[in-house]
Amino acid sequence: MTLVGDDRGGAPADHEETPEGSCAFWKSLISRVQQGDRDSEADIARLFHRRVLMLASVRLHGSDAAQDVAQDTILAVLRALRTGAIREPYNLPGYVLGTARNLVNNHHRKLSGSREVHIDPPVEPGAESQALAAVDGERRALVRDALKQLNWLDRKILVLTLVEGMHPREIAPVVGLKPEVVRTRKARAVKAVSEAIQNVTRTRRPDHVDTRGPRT
Amino acid sequence: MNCKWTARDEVFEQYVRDALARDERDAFEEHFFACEACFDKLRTCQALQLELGAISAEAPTPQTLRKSAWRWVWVPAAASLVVAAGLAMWPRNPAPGPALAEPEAAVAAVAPQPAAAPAVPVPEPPAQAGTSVAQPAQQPVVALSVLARVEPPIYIPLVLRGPRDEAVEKFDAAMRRYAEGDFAGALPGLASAAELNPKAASAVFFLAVCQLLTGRPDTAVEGFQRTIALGESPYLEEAHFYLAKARLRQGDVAAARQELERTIRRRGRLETDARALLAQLGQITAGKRQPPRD
Repeated sequence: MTLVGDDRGGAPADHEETPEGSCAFWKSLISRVQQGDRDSEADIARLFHRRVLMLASVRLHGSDAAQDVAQDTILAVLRALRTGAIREPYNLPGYVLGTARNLVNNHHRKLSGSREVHIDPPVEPGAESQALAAVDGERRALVRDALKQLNWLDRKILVLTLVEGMHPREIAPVVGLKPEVVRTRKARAVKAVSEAIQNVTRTRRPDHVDTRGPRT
Repeated sequence: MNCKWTARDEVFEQYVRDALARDERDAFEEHFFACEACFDKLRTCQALQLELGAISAEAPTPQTLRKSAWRWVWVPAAASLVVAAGLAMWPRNPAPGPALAEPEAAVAAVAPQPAAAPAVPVPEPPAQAGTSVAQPAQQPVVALSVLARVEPPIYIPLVLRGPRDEAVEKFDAAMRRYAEGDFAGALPGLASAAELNPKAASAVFFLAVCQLLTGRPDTAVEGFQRTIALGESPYLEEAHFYLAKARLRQGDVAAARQELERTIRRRGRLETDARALLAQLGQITAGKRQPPRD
């Protein structure tokens, strides 16, 4: 079984927004998985694979192992669902998150046991792993196009912020602007990119999937 | 929708860089596993970061130079000077001569070298199939002696609790001199510290650095090799890199290449510098391919 997320990678469009409704949604989904419904298993993968891949790629700093962790997490969750190991249906996202964290931690432990492997490889520009290269290809193409619309100074501010991790007050002397101006330009640039993407991908306004369960 | 996270851009930016504090990171993960809006924004932020990373790899920003490669910032500057001087001299001095002589002379003229960076002869590259009819170097290249230059690695003192033995005391005293730029003065203390505790990678490494900076590449090579032999340490990557520099001082380009490749394989802070240096070495060996002279 190949587990891949769809392009939306989020909750189903018809998910309900009240805690009770959310609980009912997860309960129903889990119940169908336990009955052997393959489509429901695919739904689980579609709902969570991208989120787990995001977590793993960040925590493993773009290592190729992120793809494996994401796949293993989904498979472990499905196995647990089939055997009825999840007692709190409303907490399915929390269960998936916990499983993903455990697998990431296991990966770190495995690496730290090997002297030859770099424990904490940084993400170096230009040295992108396969895992990162596979991340959101379509969205990255949109971002690439949107970045071309920005002027060089805004692009530079974004590079210094998101790649070099610099604060506006550190960027200010580099680009010869005041920190407030840097902050404003950065915010506008991010907004411009986000809007460019939304204009292309806009479908339904995204919203919360409440996982807190019914409250009294 | 009433999401307290979605307006906090810095959280998204720091998360994709894995720079959030652990508690905040965990809380944010719990949130975006449930919040479609925030996950959507996070995906955009990650895509933005990856694309910007590609851009910055193509054209290093001033900060890239300032933060990670600032120690080598003079290399492209020197290269520019060499190119400019070489081009200026080219039409006036068409007489045949070693390709590297002109740039080296130019470097000597416009950027005097420190005493610790003697000129190093460039060894002949091995003959390669298909290149028997070598072309004269069209572009002046950076002299090997320029690439062999060394800037002292930064030392950040650690404050540790517990008993301080004699080796630590000697090391600290020597490193105070090192921090002041007195590398020759730091040598005896570092030598004592390394002798008292031969397994202290810090002492062995900085001793080798000081030896390299004071024009003793042969002993520096041994010191860096000892640092590497000690295994995993905070100085392992730097030891490979500076060993490459020491090899360049010795004129052993092949060994320098090997060490640079080892540095790159560690995928650490010096990977970019090592790649740049390796590329420049490639230019030198390519520029050295000239027609045979009598």
